[in-house]
Amino acid sequence: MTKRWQEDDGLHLDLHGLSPPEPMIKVLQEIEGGEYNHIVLHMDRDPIHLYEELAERGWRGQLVSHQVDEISGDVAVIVELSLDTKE
Amino acid sequence: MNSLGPKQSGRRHLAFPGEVLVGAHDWLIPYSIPLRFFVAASFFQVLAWGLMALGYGDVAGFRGGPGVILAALHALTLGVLAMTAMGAAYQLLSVASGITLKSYFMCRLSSWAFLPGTFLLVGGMFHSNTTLMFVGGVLAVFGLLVFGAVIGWIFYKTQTLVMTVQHGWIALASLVLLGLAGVSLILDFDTGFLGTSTLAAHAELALTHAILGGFGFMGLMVMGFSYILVPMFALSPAPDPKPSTLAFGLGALGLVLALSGAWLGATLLTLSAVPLGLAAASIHIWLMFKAMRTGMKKRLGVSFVMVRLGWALMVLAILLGGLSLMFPEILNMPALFGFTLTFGWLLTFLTGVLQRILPFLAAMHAHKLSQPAPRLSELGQEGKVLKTHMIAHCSALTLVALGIASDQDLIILVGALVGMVGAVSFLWFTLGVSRYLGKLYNNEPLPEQP
Ligand code: HEM
Repeated sequence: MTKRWQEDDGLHLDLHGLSPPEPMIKVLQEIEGGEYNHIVLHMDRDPIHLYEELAERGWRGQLVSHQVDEISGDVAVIVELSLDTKE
Repeated sequence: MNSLGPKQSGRRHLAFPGEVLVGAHDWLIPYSIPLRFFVAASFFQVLAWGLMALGYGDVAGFRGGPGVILAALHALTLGVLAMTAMGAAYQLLSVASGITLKSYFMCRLSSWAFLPGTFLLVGGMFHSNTTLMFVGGVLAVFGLLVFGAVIGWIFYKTQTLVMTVQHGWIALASLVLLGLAGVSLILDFDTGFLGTSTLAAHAELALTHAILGGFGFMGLMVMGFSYILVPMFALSPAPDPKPSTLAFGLGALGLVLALSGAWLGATLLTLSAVPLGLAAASIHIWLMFKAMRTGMKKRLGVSFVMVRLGWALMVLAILLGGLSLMFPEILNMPALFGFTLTFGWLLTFLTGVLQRILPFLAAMHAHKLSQPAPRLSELGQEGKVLKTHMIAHCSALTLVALGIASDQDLIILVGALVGMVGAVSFLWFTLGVSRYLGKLYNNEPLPEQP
């Protein structure tokens, strides 16, 4: 299940536990919805494939944090997406 | 510098107690591992068509046994198909499952055994030299088993990729039996130990081996990986698990029946697998088309023309498999079946997929080094190379199939030579990606992007 909430910096999506390409589809749906120009993603891997799709849509992404739990090995990644204003 | 690169900002979110920060791309396998398999596969593709051209007079009448055609067949099945599957599995499984390999030694070890092993096996088959065949066969099987252990570990660990894992287990079981059967067939050339006591005779074991390799190992592997690849490239949700499981169940049951029938020499039992295989293939293809239809990416390019053609040839291969048992004397059906299964379905599908995976490999590493994803022109082809491959490949398939069915050796020769042209184009493409990755890591200047 995707958790979705708003904070001061924009929309947050928790995409933990989804298998590829579901996280990417959810993100692109939000982007194509056109409601937000800043989205923060909480995921369990760096969405490498997403960056190219973002570029095609005039967005850009930035990995801001990548952490691994020493005991469980679980990964938590935070990526910030924003509409590329240079376009 | 690329504005899209993964710049690390100072901001830290604490996610777990006891967390450690690791490099974001530690799980990204060194590019040299998948790439060596892809480059080798591209060379072996040229070799496979080349050997077929050399032995063109023996293709239509091929019914097994050492020689140039068996060499061509294994240059393809092991050199291209299994080689590509190994590279693709290493490249994609960690990315898709999120499971990080602790060491890459086993991946490298599998390549050190499998590459020379396949080469020696093919050489031994070509020269009908059983010692060379045995050494090569054992090395190649060892490489495959190491590969099986690595991906088996990922299958065991991952909580996701359910369909891929289900297919994967049966594919791995088939791999073990395939290797055993292959080595036994080689030993039997000198000792004639098969056919005694409860062991199947050579011809029965050869058919069992072909089914294990074509449908069990490669077929199920390819179908299982499609559950990752097609949604990933089409940007669609994972296919519905219920019909997916049904397709898998029917396919697995069909495989067991086909294998039992082949082992026991019971043609009717083997034939009973055909409707099951056809049903499994139809559901699988329907699911894949649905994924492509509902995907967010509509233009899937030349690679998916090959993938679609591969699916059509999968159905045809199953049908021809049945026909070759019922009417082995008509249209050189056994050779037509073997050709459609290997050069048709599996090769067409895998080269289609490889066209997408290779640029993806380049893009992942460009991303890691904060470079923009390369355009196709930077990868050594302007679209022309892959189009040439597609046209040559399709023409070669048509010509060789016609040649086999009509017993016209010269048509087979022309077809094999055209296939070689396609394979050389594909090799050019692969080497382009290889050159790009080399430059990327050696900090050599990359072409400017607009
Ligand atoms: C993906 C892997 C493989 C596939 C798809 C495959 C496929 C085939 C096919 C279609 C045949 C012709 C069957 C016939 O004669 O009726 C064959 C024969 C043979 N294969 Fe393989 N093979 C694979 C791997 C191997 C390996 C690893 C070895 C050796 C260790 C091997 C050794 C042989 C031998 C010796 C024969 C000749 C049987 C004969 O006709 O006397 N194969 N294989």
